Amino acid sequence: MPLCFFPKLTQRASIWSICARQMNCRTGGLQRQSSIIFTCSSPVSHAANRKILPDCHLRHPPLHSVVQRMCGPSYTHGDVVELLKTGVSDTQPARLGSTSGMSGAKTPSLGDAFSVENKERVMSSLSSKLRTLRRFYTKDVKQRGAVVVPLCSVNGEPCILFTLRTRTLKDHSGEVSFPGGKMDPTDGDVCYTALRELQEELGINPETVEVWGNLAPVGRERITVVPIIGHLGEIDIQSLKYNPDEVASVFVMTLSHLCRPACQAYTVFEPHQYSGQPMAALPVFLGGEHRVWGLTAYILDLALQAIVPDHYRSLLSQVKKEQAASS
Amino acid sequence: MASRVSRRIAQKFTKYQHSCSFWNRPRKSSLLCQRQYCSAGSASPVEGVPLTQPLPGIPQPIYAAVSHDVVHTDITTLDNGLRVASMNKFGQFCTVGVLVNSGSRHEIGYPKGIAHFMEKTAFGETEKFESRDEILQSLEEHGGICDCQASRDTLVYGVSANRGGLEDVIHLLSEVVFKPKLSDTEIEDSRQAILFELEALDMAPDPEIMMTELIHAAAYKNNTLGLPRVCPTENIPLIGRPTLLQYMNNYLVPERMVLAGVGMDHEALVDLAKRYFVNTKPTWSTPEIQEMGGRVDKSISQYFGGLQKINKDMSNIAPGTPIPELAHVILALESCGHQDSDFISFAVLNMLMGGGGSFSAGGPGKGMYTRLYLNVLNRYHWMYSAAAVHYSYEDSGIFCIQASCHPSMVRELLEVIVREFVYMAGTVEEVELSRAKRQLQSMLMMNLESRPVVFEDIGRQVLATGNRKHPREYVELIEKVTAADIKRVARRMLQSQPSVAALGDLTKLPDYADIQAGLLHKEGRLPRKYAFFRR
Repeated sequence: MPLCFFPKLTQRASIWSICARQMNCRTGGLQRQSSIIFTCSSPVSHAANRKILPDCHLRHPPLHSVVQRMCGPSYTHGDVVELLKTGVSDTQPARLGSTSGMSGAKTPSLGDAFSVENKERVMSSLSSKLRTLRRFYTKDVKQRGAVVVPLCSVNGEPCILFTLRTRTLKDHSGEVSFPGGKMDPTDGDVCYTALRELQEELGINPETVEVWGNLAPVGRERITVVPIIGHLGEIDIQSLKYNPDEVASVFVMTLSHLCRPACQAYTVFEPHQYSGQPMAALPVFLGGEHRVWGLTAYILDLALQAIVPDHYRSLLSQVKKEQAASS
Repeated sequence: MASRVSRRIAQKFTKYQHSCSFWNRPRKSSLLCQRQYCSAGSASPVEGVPLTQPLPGIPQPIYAAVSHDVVHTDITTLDNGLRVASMNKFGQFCTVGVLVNSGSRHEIGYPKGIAHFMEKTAFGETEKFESRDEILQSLEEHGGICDCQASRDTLVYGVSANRGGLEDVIHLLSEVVFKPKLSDTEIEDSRQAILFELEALDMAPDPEIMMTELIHAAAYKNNTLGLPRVCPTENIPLIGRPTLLQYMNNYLVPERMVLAGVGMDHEALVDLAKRYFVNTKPTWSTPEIQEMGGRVDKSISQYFGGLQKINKDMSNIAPGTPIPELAHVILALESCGHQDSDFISFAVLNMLMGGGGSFSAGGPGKGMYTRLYLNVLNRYHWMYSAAAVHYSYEDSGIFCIQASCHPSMVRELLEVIVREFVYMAGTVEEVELSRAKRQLQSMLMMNLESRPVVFEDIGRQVLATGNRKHPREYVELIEKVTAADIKRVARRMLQSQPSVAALGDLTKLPDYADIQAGLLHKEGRLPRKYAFFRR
């Protein structure tokens, strides 16, 4: 018997589809450091150019023309897909934090995530990642980028800050991202790049930023990005003087919200040619002012694993396990 | 459907009247030919029964009763997780079916096209029924018909039949859903059917299905909703019994299903569901299939935006018909899912944009005063069609304007559509807004008069939210939409990257970057390209 016995069925006949159809019936407590710690032992700075280190955080970043600033981290969806295919470039996205050979210090409660103890725990755990940057520096300078994962507290509540890129930018316009951008040949190290971009985009003085360390570089081929974990202290979103050419808006998501399983989701991408193997999943964080997805969500996932390993359960690793079990 | 049956009977009868000359024949005066019009005289049991009494041996008639809540939907969740939802509706027929939360968006990790195969193999050979014919014959006893449709997010098995046949129908549904044989011949037949369908799609003058595929692929790239619903040719040989059964094992589970019905007593339906949908051993309960494993994908859709185009010579697509050579374009932006608070506003915006074909006869209620008619189709003679469509799913949606024109005018066409998109965030006149609202309300209510529509509505709502909203709520929500809401949702939509799907001779298609720039321009202008000295 031929199809379409329910003429209405073919029109997807629910209220939603009726509504959606066209009319012609076709169918806590942050402990702010009193003195800003900029030590040369900052794990990031250890990386390659030891000589530039001492002044890396102190030097005021040069002003760049708007044109130069326009190009943010230019990883593309292609890179994201590439990332998915191969996993993280230089290192395994190993779980950081308490499990990775730490002195056994437990993470404090979420409200104290930015306390001195946790900071030291995170810093020493991240310093074990140092070697990973060596390969990063072998790449062409044009292919190097850095972002800051800006930890901050708003009204005493630990948060992570995000920017929404303006619609007029060439790459990734209108998308949620961390402040950051491409490395300039004159930049001393990635940390310098990240803090320079942070100042350019959000007007935050690099001297007020505590750098906790860096995560393993992410991305591949076109650009590799090093996420730098930086603590901005207590901030007031309204008084931030961000650069309207690059940043359309700034918003924060609290750590307690980000650690809630209900706000986490994932998207599995599929290679265009069926190979029997689905690609890895990318995390998505919902419930904020804007959806956090793509490379930013991937970095956020890594950062949360490093900062609050006892409170954050990465949905991504669960999905990976599922995928491994099913294949 | 009832009306369709009666129409068919009426047609047959007229034919009969004409072919048989009995009525036309001049009456012979012979007594033999005289027809008795009255049973009087023969010994009938009816004889002597006064008119004030019902005739003996005739079933009690069921009368329609006045009820103030004609849309009450009962929902029961069985122990195995199956949700049974039904609404009683006056009438001789009932519609009942199974809706499964399974569609092409769930095909991650499988060869794409499973949904298409599921649609084609449905209502085939099962444990009890030896062939499709047997199924149809058993349905015929109850004047029933069946159909299966797979969309991006839902698989619907539906049956309409006489109320009396409810038990047989439920049994049939259980067989069809859980116990398909999927024999080699059936799979081979389905492959052929799909191959033919793909060929037909390629040759169809109205490429709506292909365009829908393209715009979803452009909007969602290689995740969830962007996966093809129509089986790609290269996947036809890849999909077979093991793949289908593996997929069914993961997705055709009672927790992901709703048994929805219209036109029966809820208790009766629940009893039948308990009998036929609990403790049934599905075809895929064999150890081999269980070993194949697989996982249930819970990805949420991620909108990207982008361009998908197919260059195709369509100059001779429909010889002998007045259909001219056309280039088809859809421009879409991300809207929202049907659970979003802005959904109703988007629906009103969709009505407000309206549109249709240039050569549509029009008429009251067709939206001849919608924006796409007034600002587009009535103004540009070269425009063949322009219509607003809103596709919405559980977690995302796209708002599209689909249009077609001669290939030489594609750039102008996109300029016009881009401008209409930009103007959506501009002033909304009170008249057009209230007209759109009224139209949406009436369309909603009129559609809900039809039993199959109510069936699908119950099924989809219960599948997505676990209960059914009263249509009155929707009418009230529509009433509340203001011009400010329309502006807000239009602005929200304009924040997203455009998705473009194009098919035909696309030499004049503007660059994707130009469309992006056009949508950012406050007048919706595409960047001008001076071509004085270029060819």
